[in-house]
Amino acid sequence: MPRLIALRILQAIPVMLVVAILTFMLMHLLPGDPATIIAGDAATPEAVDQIRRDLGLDRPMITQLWLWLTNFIQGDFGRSIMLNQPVAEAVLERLPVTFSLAFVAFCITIPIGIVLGVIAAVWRDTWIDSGVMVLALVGVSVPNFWIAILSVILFSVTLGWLPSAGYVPLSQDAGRWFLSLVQPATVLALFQIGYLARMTRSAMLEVLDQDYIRTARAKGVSPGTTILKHAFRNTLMQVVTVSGYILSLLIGGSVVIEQIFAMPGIGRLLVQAIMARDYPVVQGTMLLLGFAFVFINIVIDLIYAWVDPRVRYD
Amino acid sequence: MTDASALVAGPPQTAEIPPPVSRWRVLARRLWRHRSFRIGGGIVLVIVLLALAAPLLTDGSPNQMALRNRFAPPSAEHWFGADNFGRDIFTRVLYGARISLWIGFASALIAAVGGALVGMVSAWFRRLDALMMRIMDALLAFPAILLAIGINAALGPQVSSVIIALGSAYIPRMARIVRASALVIRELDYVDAARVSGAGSGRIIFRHILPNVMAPLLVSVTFVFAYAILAEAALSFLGIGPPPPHPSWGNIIAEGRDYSVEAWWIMLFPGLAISLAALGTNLLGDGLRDVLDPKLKIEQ
Repeated sequence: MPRLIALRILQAIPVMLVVAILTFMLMHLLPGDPATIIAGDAATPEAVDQIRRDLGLDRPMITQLWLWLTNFIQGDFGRSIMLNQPVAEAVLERLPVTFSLAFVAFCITIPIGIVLGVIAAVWRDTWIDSGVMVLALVGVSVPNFWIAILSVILFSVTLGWLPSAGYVPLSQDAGRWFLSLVQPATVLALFQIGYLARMTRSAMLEVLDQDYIRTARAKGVSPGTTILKHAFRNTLMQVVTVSGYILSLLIGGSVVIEQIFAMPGIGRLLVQAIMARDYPVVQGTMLLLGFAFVFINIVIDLIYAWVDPRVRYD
Repeated sequence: MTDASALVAGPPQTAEIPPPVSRWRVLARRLWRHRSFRIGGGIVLVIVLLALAAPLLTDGSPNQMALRNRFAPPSAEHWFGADNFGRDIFTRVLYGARISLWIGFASALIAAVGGALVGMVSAWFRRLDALMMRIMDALLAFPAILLAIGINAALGPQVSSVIIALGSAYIPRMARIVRASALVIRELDYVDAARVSGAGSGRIIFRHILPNVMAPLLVSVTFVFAYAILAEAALSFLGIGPPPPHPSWGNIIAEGRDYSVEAWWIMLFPGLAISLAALGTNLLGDGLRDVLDPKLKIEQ
């Protein structure tokens, strides 16, 4: 296992490099000349040239890529044009918001999704199964930004129970932090809960059909133990795979949800930066998010190998 | 054994051996018997027909403004009401279906073909695996919607960029799921048997591994189709989808958001349309999975 961990971290380095190059290339495909946009309509051609030189946009692409790579290795992610602030600072300021949102949503999703899926599989083809599956289906079928608007109308405008927008930092007030996250996180989790419940159910059904489950039942193992120890443990591999995917969906989904609940997170920063053509921020945000996901994937891979030794890693 | 399975199977089979029927006939019959497939297929079919018949059912002008109809609530004349420009929401929702269904279908196809190829190839050719999975990891590092936002911004706000963006965003995800199944399958005896009898890599991948990763692939494609519809709506909602006044479902919701309390009908009906389309697709995929999954076939 320690060897595997070291190997995975070593393998992550080229991935990060690919992430960095992809991010750089993606952003240079964006239409529009950033120098012209930053300078504004009234700028003279000389002023535009000056900005272009300052940003290094007049140099060859490969030189820009090299400069960018060497800078970010030194921790310099560039300077935001619209915020007039270092990108790393702008992203780090907003990181807790997005992570809080995704974390609370993840904590809602995992237990509820797994329990619903197992229940549906165990009581297969009964009204319980149908009921759970209809709920799960609605969860994966309803657009979350739409539910978010409806939810705000009900819980914030009409009933006045929950704040309709904004974010309170954890360090400021834990209660209000949670209160500000309940609605967005729940709305964000709905899709993932349905998704996880469906995947867990189908994985459980596959396992429950196996001979060794029948053997376990026949030799008198209690139903609870059969389900948890013999069946559920064997679905863990699929559940782990799906959980990693869910985390990526949650952070991706937070882009939209942050927008609706006016939460100052990374998603909101990214959308604003794309709209404003703030290249350094777009690049820096994508890159840092990319690195976060490389890390999550390493963890998933390791859990994967730990859960199922049948998967050979060579 | 036969008695027991007849009881489980429900209607008893006739005693005489039925004449041989084609595999597709058998599958079609099983699909038809599947309730989710019938309901989901019905929903999708109705939406497809409505989308196709949009010019016949409406006056064919989703962007026609009529200021005297501003904020007209649902009525016999305007079934779904009218928006802030007096545009008929029913017409706009029907035309929106054309955009959404096409985007969902095309992106799911790109994701499925790409994901299956990458997943199987990297599970089979172990030397390629590390390299391919590292590239997939790099792509996976970007949450699908972020990748879609980025590609879409780069290609310009068009329907085709949304398709390319969503399709490519899902290839690595499909590849991982296919690879996970294929990794277990490649260790099975029948794959060894095929290899020992001289089958080449291509044959093993497409004849022995592909059919056995079909079930997870199909379940995932279902999600991709439905999620592409949802993601397209989200992109439109953020203002980076098909540009207004394109009546995409997400655009209609975005335009109605400011009036969501007073003129709830503007955002309510396109939201219902998205939900129904995604629901129908998911039900359809469930039916396909149950029927095509070889492991479940034994039970039925």
